[in-house]
Amino acid sequence: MGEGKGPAMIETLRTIFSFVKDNPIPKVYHKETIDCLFAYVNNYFNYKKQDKKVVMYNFCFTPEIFYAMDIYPLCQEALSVGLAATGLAMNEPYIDVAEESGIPKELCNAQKPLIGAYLKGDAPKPDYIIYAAQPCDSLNIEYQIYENLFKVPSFPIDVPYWHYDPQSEFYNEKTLPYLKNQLENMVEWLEKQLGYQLDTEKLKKVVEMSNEAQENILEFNELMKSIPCPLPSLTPFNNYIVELTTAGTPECVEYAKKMRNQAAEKVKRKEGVIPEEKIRAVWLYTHVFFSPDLFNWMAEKFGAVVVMDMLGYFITKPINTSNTDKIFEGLAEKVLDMPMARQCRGPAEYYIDDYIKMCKEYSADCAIFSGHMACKHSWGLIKLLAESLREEVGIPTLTFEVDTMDSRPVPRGVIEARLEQFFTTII
Amino acid sequence: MKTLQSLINVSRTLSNSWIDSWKTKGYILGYFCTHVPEEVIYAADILPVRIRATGCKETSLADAFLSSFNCSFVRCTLEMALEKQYPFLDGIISCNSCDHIRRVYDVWKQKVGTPFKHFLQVPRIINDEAIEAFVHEITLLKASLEKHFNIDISEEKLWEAIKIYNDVRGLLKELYNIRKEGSPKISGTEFMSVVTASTAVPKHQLKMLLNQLLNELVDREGYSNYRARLLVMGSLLDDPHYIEMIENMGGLVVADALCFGSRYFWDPVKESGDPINNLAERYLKKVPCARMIGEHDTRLQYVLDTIKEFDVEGVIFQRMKFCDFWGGECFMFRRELKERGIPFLELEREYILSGVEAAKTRIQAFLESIEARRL
Amino acid sequence: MIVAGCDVGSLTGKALIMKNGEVISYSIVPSTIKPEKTSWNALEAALEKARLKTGDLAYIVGTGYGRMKVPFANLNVSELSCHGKGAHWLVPSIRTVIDVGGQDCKVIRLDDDGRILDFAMNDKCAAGTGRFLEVMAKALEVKLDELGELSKKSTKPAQITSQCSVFAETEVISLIAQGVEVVDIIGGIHESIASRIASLVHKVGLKEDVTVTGGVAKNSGVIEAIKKKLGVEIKKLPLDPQVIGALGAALIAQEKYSSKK
Repeated sequence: MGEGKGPAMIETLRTIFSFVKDNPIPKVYHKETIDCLFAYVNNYFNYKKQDKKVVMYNFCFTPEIFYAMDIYPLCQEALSVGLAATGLAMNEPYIDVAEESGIPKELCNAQKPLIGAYLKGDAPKPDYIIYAAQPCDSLNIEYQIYENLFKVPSFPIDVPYWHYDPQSEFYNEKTLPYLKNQLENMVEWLEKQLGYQLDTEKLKKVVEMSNEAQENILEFNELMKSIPCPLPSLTPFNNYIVELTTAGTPECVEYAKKMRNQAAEKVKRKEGVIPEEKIRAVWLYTHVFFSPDLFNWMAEKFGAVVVMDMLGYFITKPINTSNTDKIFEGLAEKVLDMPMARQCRGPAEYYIDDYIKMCKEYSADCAIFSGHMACKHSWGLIKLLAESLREEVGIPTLTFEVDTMDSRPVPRGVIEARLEQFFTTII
Repeated sequence: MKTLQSLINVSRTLSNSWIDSWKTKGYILGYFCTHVPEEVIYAADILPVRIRATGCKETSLADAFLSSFNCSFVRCTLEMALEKQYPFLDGIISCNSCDHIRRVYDVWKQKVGTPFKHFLQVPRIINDEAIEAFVHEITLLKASLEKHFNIDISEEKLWEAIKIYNDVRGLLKELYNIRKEGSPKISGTEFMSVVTASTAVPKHQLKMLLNQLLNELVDREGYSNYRARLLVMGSLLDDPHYIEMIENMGGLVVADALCFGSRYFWDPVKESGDPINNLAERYLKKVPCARMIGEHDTRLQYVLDTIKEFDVEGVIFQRMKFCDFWGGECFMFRRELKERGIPFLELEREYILSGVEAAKTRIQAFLESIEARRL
Repeated sequence: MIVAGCDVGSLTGKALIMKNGEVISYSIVPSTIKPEKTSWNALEAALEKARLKTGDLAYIVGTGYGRMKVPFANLNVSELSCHGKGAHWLVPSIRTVIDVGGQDCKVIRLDDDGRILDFAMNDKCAAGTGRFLEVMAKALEVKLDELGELSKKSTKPAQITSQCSVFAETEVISLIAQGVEVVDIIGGIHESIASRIASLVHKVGLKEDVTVTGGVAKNSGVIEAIKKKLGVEIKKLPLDPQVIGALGAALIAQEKYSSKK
């Protein structure tokens, strides 16, 4: 590694983003998204240059506290999944290295590539590893493997199974305090590691910016309910990855405003993303990362728009910033309510009820489950979910197997055949 | 070996004569996972029986609800439930051990007409706040049992239950330690049968049986004709036939780190202070399952200590297909044991015993390589 | 001292006879449904070649899929140990043995003394085995023993993406329909098999010298493809690669008999 060069995994990601910046894939990643992500990855190098610390965290956690403490929030999944998500399969060699070294094939490829990269010497070495143990077993064990391999100070956070909302059937009054307390302990732990205190005023400002961005995204999500669907199907996911990595920064606020305005414009002019919208689909899972233009193909060939998906459903509430205690409470709620965490961390009802609501609010005609083969807990409830959607919303569900991050087990052609079969049956 | 044989028989069936007899005068609750504090149930004069799917042949009913990506253990238990093979259960208690266990509960809730159902949130980390959270959960369980079964679980009853459970744990440990000897008087197959049976026999009767068994073993001739001393670890394993398969190839299984093995009885509950607090502490801090985050080093040390004390020459790590927690642990254990020069064999398996020829070939080659090193 | 090793596989049975530390004969016979019969057929053929009788044998070791059903064996040993032993005896610098059989493939890592350090097996599916080649040869209407030479003629090997050999067969048929050159398809098939084998090799780590045993080792195209994929020379053994298991068994028979005395 020469001067200015970082670990190969991050360098590759930076190169991909810089390539995509100049060669945008239409209707997949918005220019605004790539600009933000490129800046985010570049920031890694900026922080390192200033000798600042890097904390690796997981995609079901939020980075405001890290920004407030002036350490770089490196989202692991942005690396492992990011390398797949532009359709260039740059994660696959790392998957193979990991599997050859004894990582079972059935573990999720959202975490596996980092292990392969580590074994190849391509992985960034964080100063700390902090993760909220959700949404699943695969993440929980693979982060334990990271701890075992990297041997850097780490702080895992246990996520409660129950709900914090008194209206919920699964309400438990200890839920919020249990998580909030751990966030506070995490800060205390970081303060000891870093040798300086969290500036609570700075935290307030960071969270206020996060709120501002989120308020725009909430509006955006409302606008996406309009018929016809105003923006390309992957747009909510675009918002997700920007918020996941940069919530609390001014760049994120700018981004969110732009997206909200774009949506508002389209809705005002009653402009749909395609001329004739025939099918409105709700995606019951994360999309097929290795095939980012799949939704476009669906739209062009069948007039099918995906109006909302799992990661795009970012509906966390703005955080009460009246005092530091309320901020921590709000952040705890956010961690519990983040996309995928909200549906997957607890009983099947969280997932099913969320999607019944989503399908109704977004006027779905059908639901599609791109069943990621490593995702045992979602496969464990899909039959119940499909049943509920049929009974309570009156819509059919398509289920198919896929590895959302590896193009080889179930190639694009097979997925297209399944979708075609489904759409031609239900139209 | 009368007592041993009767315990072996218990391990081969779902129900047994003690369960039948208990059923005539009391309730029985099935529980998934050793994180469920049995004493609370027993203190309510309810028999806790660990849910197994012994005898399950296929999962056609279960597969209508769970998927082929869910572990075969939970699919088999759901199958047995749908086939009404648990008529003796008045309810089930589950917890968030892992993705498969929590989903089988979700399906069971909707599709199997079990009258009493309770789900326990078990923390994934070990610290004071987690213990406090677990105390709260156990309190909720207690209240739930009291309400549904119209019974009062007094502190006195809790201490009684803790005492008898500790007695049983002590006896099982005594039995386990017999295997330290050069010619152990109980084989791995037999021991697993005993532990499996222990999860299905009321502890008062079990205490008697274990005492009898220890007496019976005194004059028994030990197993000396074996090729190597092995430790078995990994995913949930309640089938003595699996251990038998290993021992038939000549490897004597002298130790384990299984939840239907040493991890079931290793740690006692403190017998003074607050009973619920002590239960929470013990059931959280006991030799950890791979689901417990930040505890890999504890697991490793436990296995290394056992290897030393039991003169173990090789470790067989079996992992059930789709078991993420133990699958990931396997990766770490392989590296760490290899570093220390400890022979290591990984075997993939399903809950219903299959692929025996393939497994036997690997086990045989493993034993041969251990023998070759001795020369 | 005359000893024998008998390797009962699912497709072929092999027997090898050693006299005073030297190989004097061996046989390869087709397997029957009964391993007992196959082992007799193999042993009888080897005995005939050496002009010996069963009674002349001091010790017999059985190995292979049917090893537990060799009625005249004094002992049975896993084929992993036997392939390792046989290869190492022939060429003591061997540290990695790749055995590509009819229905399974295995990789064995040896230490300096020829003992097993680690191993990995694929006995679940046809990928990376002789069966895969058989199926493909049929689909392409080419003779199985011509495949190797033909693969070497390929200049642009086709990409076979399917991980499962059943799906790969479908893929090959569609490649034929697309007009892809048969030699290129064959080249692609060989790359695919080498890929699967390489994956297995990496599970235990590659250390030279490397050799390939089993019936498929006679396919020079597979050897070339493995060589290219792993980036190492493949050491050829001075004996039919298909009988290495039986050789190892015979060597172990020798050891066992000597230690008895």
